[in-house]
Amino acid sequence: MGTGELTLLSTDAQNIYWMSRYLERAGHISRLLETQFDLIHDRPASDVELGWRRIYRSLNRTPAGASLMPAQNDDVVMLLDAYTLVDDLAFEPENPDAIIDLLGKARENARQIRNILNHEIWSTLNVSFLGMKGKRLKDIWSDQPQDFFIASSTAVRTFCGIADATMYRDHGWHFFKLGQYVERIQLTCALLDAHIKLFPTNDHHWEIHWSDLLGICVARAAFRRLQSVECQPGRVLDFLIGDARLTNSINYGLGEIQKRLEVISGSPDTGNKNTSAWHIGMTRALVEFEWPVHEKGNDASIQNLLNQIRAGVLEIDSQINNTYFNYPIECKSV
Amino acid sequence: MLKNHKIVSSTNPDNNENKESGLFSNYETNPLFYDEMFTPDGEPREHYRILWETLNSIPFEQIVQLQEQAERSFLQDGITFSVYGDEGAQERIIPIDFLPRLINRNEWAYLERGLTQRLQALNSFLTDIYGEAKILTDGVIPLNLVYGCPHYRIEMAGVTLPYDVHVSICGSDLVRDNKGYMVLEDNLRSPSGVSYMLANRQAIRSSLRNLYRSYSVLSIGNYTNLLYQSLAEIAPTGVTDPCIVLLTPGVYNSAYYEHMFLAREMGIELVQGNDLLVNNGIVYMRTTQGLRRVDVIYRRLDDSFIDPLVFRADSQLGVPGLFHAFRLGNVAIANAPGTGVADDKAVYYYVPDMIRYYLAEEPIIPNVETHLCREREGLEYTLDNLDKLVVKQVGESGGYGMLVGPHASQAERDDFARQIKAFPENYISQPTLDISRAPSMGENGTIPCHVDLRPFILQGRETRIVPGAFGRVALRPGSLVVNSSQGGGGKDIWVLEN
Repeated sequence: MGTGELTLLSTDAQNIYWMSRYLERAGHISRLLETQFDLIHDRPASDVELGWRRIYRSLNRTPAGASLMPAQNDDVVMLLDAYTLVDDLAFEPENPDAIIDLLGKARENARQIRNILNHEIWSTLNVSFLGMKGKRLKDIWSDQPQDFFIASSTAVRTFCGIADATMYRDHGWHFFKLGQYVERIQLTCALLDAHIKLFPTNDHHWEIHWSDLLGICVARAAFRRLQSVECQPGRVLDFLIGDARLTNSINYGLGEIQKRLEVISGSPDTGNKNTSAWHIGMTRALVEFEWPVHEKGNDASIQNLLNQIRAGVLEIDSQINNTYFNYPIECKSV
Repeated sequence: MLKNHKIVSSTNPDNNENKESGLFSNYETNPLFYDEMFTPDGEPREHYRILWETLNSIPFEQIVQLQEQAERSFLQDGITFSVYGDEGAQERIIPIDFLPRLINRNEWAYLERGLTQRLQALNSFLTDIYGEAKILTDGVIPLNLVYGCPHYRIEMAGVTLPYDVHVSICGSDLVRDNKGYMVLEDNLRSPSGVSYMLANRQAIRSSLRNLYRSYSVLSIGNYTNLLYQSLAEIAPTGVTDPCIVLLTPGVYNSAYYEHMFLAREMGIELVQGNDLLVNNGIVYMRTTQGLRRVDVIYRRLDDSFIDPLVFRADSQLGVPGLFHAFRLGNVAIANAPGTGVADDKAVYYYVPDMIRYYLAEEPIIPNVETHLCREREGLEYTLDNLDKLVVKQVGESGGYGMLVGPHASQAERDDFARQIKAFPENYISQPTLDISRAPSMGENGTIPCHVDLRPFILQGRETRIVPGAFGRVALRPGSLVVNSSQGGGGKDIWVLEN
């Protein structure tokens, strides 16, 4: 009955791509909050405050209701309590990136492509969502609120693991991976950018925060084993940006994007400008040839590089959309 | 006379004292209603005996757990339908009744013959009225009834279809009273429920594994293969390996789960209107590798929405130019546009006449006695007997737009009488049926609930029927309405080999 082809409907590809992006984002924010709870429990108030600033700056968000506050920019986080901030990031209905909302959107995308998802993948997502749907912060706050975020990031990882173990390797799988890495690189760049602004690389008083950063990126154990127990900023950045084996590094992510695009397009050709293949080649070159730029006191160059990578990935996202999801008819032979 | 069933299990006599569930001990039959499980003298019917003995040997708490487990699996698997209310669309599971309804092989063979006959006549009728219209000119069916029907599509006039198949998928609702089976209505547009038939079977089979094995239940597992085969057979001439798609209105449609399920099981694409486009009279779908030609569309949206250039101009769900491609014979649409005229509730009245006219046979399964309010006699009878009748709007389905006279208040009946007088052509009436009942799970044991069944009849080059149906049950005590949107639930139908 099947077509025997590895291609898929454009809208299905788009749904897989976005399902994957929403899940990646939900997992990332869950990990940010997991780490933040560690800070709340074990660190001085100043560290907690810096942690909130890192989160809000990296997500480029102002807490709901902040317009009513006298403070400007992210100083507003100083005026809000942890309950309000956690609620804002996890449950706030007006926040399109609240964890609950992201999981709901991912599930909605999955619902639209259930015919191409296997039962294991769908039920994993559905059961996780149904378990969290309707929850409010007050339901979890009196107990162990961080458990909720551990559960949500675990749910995302479980989902990805089951997808990895069971998904047929057709174009659907490659769009799933594309969405995952496009999102991951953007979030990682934004996180590193915010982190560097708060904890300059030439100031070695912040080592524990660089260790936290590795924790958020699920890279602490690997870093200690392969690099050092000492979290020297330059080496941490090297690891998170340039390491080719760390699945959460920017270099690894760009490599994955390139690989998936080659399979989907059926060609590794990067000669034509303004194709996604060309843009990924250019963006990878930034990491391969421009990095490292972490000489002492050169944080602006690092931030500039991160911004260029983000812009490159944004362009790739746009090219994916224009080439595979919403292409003009005249571009495709009839 | 009401009978009280005090049941003692005979399967595990040693353990009866501790394990007897008493599942049927308070079950009451009523001679007014045919009981699917028990004879009028309170004995289980022969083909129900194993079920009766087995379930009586399971503790009631365990049966409740099994029922809950089945319902939980529905929720986890997302086997839901959408209900539209004040808070927007909500996903709900169709309540599943744990106790299957059993039908023996001979009875099923009779139903198969009757349903095949009926669909053949209905397809002949549709070919005729969109062609020479002989049945109308011969005066068998009033011409104005057909041409005045809102579901008659003049655009279909002169369109010829492979094997003259207008209706590829038919879901006919069957009920039974003390005299036997009757066809309550035919669903010829986008009949739904088949996925619940398959899901119910899966859930009940895994919950009642031993009982299922004790019976030789005929398999319904090849339904989607037969559906695919039937759709492939109506592909445009010369297409040997057709590209078939299922066109859905989208995720917010109440039957979206079913659309997804059928597409997945058939291995075809589930598309929405914006996935398709028409170029030079050919239908294409938009894939990641460019456009791909589509040969057969199993559409699950109403005629009005399939093509904004021909039908409703404000439709966002359809495909501009689709009907043109269809008329050119470049794409098949199942069911074909315009089939709704044959499941209009007033046209239903004439189905027995269609069978006699086209097949020269007597109807095997009768209709329910029906009064047409468009005719003076029928109107007077309906208005005089509103308290005894069920009144339906001819174009409605899903249990909407109807009055169940005996259960309605005087004010509701008066209101309906006014509506009928103002627009009699829009109504038919039928006697309140003594629809058969079957045991269903209640809070403290089994309770008798009214049941119907919807078998699915497929038509391609030949007629195909899987031995099963979407069984429905009116779970509200005393209610006659089995529709899932109105408090009905699903019931697995086991057609027995022996």
